[in-house]
Amino acid sequence: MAETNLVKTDVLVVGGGAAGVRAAIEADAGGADVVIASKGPLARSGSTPLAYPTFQASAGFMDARDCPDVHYQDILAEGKGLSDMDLARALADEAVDRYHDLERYGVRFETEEGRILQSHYPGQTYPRNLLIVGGGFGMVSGLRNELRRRPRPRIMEDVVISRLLLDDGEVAGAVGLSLRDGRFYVFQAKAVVLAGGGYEALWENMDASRDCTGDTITLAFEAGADIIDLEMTLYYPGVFAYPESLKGILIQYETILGKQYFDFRLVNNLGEEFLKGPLPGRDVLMRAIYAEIEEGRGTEHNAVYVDPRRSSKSPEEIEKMIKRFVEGPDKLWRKLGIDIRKDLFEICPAMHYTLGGIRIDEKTRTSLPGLFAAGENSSNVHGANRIGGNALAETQVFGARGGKYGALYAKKRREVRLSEAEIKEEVSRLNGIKEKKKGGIRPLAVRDELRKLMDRYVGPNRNEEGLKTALGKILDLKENGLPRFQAVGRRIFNSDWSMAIEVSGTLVLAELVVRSAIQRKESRGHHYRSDFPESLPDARHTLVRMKDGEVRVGYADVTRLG
Amino acid sequence: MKAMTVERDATRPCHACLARAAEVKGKTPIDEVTAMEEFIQARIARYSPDEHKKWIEEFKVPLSTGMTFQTLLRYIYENMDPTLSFRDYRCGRGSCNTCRIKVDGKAIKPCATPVGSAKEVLLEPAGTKVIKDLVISYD
Repeated sequence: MAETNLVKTDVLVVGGGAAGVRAAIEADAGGADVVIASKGPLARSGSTPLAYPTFQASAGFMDARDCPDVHYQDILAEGKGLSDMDLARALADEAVDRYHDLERYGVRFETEEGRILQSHYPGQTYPRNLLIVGGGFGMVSGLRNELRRRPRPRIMEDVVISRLLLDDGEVAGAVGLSLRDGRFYVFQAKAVVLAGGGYEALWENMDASRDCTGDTITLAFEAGADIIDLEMTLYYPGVFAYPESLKGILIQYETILGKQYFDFRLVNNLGEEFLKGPLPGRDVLMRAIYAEIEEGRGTEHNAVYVDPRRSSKSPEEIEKMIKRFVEGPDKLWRKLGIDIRKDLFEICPAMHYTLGGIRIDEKTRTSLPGLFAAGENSSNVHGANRIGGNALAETQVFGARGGKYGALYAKKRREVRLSEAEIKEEVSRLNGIKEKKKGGIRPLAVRDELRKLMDRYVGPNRNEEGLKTALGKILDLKENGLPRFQAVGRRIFNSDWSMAIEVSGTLVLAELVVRSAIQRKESRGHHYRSDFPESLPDARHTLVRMKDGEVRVGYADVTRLG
Repeated sequence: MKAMTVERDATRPCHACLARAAEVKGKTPIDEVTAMEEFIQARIARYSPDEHKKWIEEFKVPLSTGMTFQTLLRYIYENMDPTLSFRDYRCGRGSCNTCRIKVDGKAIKPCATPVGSAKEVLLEPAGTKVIKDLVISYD
């Protein structure tokens, strides 16, 4: 057996984004010994660095009537019956305190004439989004600096955690591969906090980072934890579909297509404007674009065109609008070959945020003792739709709670034991993935095929037939693609090897997403089923769980407060 | 450490690329911006920590519309050399600087820098703590 390195700690945090770093800070503040393991460089991977700068907290700077109660009610209204009320309560109640923490860590917020700004987003009763200077990267840089100021937490970067370890039904640590030395690490921990982000990268059309492959959700599922609402995935209507260098970059469709702003027109490959009347809401717009593509009127790159030349606005008006709304992005777009003043360009809907994940309670406890989860990989505070600004707030409220309750749990727990057999099994699985084999393939082809089929059958417009087709194809990839994975080359920073580990996890997770989407026989929020277009009277979570080596699919009640 | 130079030709993957480009041509006006039969000679400073070896490796890569240094590296990794390592994270907007490398001695952000009309470029890691090839540590 290849030698493994043992790392002992009280709390192991998995994930180096905003939720993970916040959890590590809080666990350290709680007196626990902390190790934070990140798949990429800390604060530089996952979704946080590319998050929009909005942090929702009812500080009431712009309107004194705002308060946590109103924030709470807004979350429930947008969640369409699927928000767990204990989680929504925690988010609304603590977002302001967590904002003050960020200020103490050195994160700055936009001001105007000395007053802190809060912008008004759809779904908010009062303007509530604080604007972080430097966006998501600005926020997570401040968090990273705070973590580095603390002498005790140990930071391990470029470590792919691939399996959780159990001690008599209680989570006791994890196994991972360090890309930096090509060696295996065994983490022995009294509590594990998962903060590995969402699973947008299961789809090709997405605007998140390529490393958002939902690894920690798969880890939790395979260890036996309850996973809910995986079918609840939030789309953004318009991102560039082409060229490759701009693919997945978000277009502010509200202004680009808005009649009162740019008034650019959506056009199919027959040159027809297919939107009639005023610009519809997000869901209707997405389905209209998707219908054109599905019915063969899309572009080469499975998108539709935006035609600036049909705008009713004069070039001078357009120039003014560019200055006002997209001055910075316009410079980048032009550098990369698209001038929105005159070029026909292609856009498509894209996966923007994933609402499903590991089920948690208000103390971030999962259904497995010793296992906690925070941030996008946990579920379900937002419900069937999320208000812009609540994602970054969620990372801080639940990240802090994860660190706090993880540390408390670790304090009460006696020494943990690890199973040598389990470790050996995982190490041999990981080595097996790398090994050269007869008929061996790179993981790349399977990854791309999976992402394409998720786009095609598990997009914004779903039905049972398509979902069952997707399920069959995923099971086929699992059976015939996965066992042939190999990674040529050496051990250190072998990208094919880490991708093969990633893809072996995404195949498991994709199956769960599809099974959950089949299970939800209704339309609600961002889950639209053309064969069940109405919402059922009672909202329930869909639930997947591993039992005796098999996937069980069912429902779970939404947590309600009196 | 011995330095050596290896040259690779991308003739095969490029055929498919050209065929696709020809198909697309005429449909989208932006495809006409770049002439598709052009190549860029990318010289990459490689480092294998497993073997304690450094060398310069050359790749002849077909240019595509709006190609950035990030999509160039992705092309090489996906079609020419699976052992090439670089940081493929992306904010895609040139703000987080995680993908940074040096091109002809100057630090750039690959996700926001088009390869432009250069015929030959030298790509190197933009830092002193090199882990492998273009991957550096930010500690």
